[in-house]
Amino acid sequence: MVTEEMAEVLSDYVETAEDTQRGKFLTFSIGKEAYGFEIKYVTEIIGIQEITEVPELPNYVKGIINLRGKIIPVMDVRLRFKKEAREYNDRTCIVVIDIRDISIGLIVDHVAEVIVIPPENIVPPPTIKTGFHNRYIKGIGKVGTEVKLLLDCDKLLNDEEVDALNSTVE
Amino acid sequence: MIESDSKTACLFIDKLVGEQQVVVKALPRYLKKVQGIAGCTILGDGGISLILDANGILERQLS
Repeated sequence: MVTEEMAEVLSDYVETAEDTQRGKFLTFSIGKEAYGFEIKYVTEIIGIQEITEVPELPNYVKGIINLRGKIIPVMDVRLRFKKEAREYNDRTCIVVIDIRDISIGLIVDHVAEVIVIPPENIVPPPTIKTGFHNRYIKGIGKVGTEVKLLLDCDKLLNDEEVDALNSTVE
Repeated sequence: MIESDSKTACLFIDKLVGEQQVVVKALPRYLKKVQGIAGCTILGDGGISLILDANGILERQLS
């Protein structure tokens, strides 16, 4: 049983953890563009490693990897955005994110840094649907003269798929 | 050669690697269920091996 007091302490703790992560974004690049996503989703960053292919998956899901005994799927963000595939090199990274209790690795060209983008420097994406990956973009962060496209991790994994899966798992 | 409840079939494969007892793990939830694959396992060297499901693979062939 969690007493009220404990619950309070717990919520305080959760709040501080959220506070220190608020406004922080992990930035990475794919081709020439810089992207970012909220640091709270990121659990770790690993180098590229051996990927076991699984049949019948969309081409952007490269397969599964063994992350210290835990098997997680990996998605190539480059292919997810319908960009050309590129050979992996030593800069290629797998960013492991945890979202709605699902761990997934995202393959990106290279990881840049963690930056703080204050909310006033984040603007919503243009409303005109000009590009195919507009729907994955939650906002556009201005950092100096550069812009970072801030991704919506939820959408990246495709809502329908996640929902369908959640409903089948009891 | 595999045999399911009622059917028998031959599988063409590239190479036999060996035979071992393994613990079957489920595929990650994010991946939709692939018919014919029961799960996967982690091998001694850290590699991953996919486990086929004989029934599933035959049903899929016939449907």
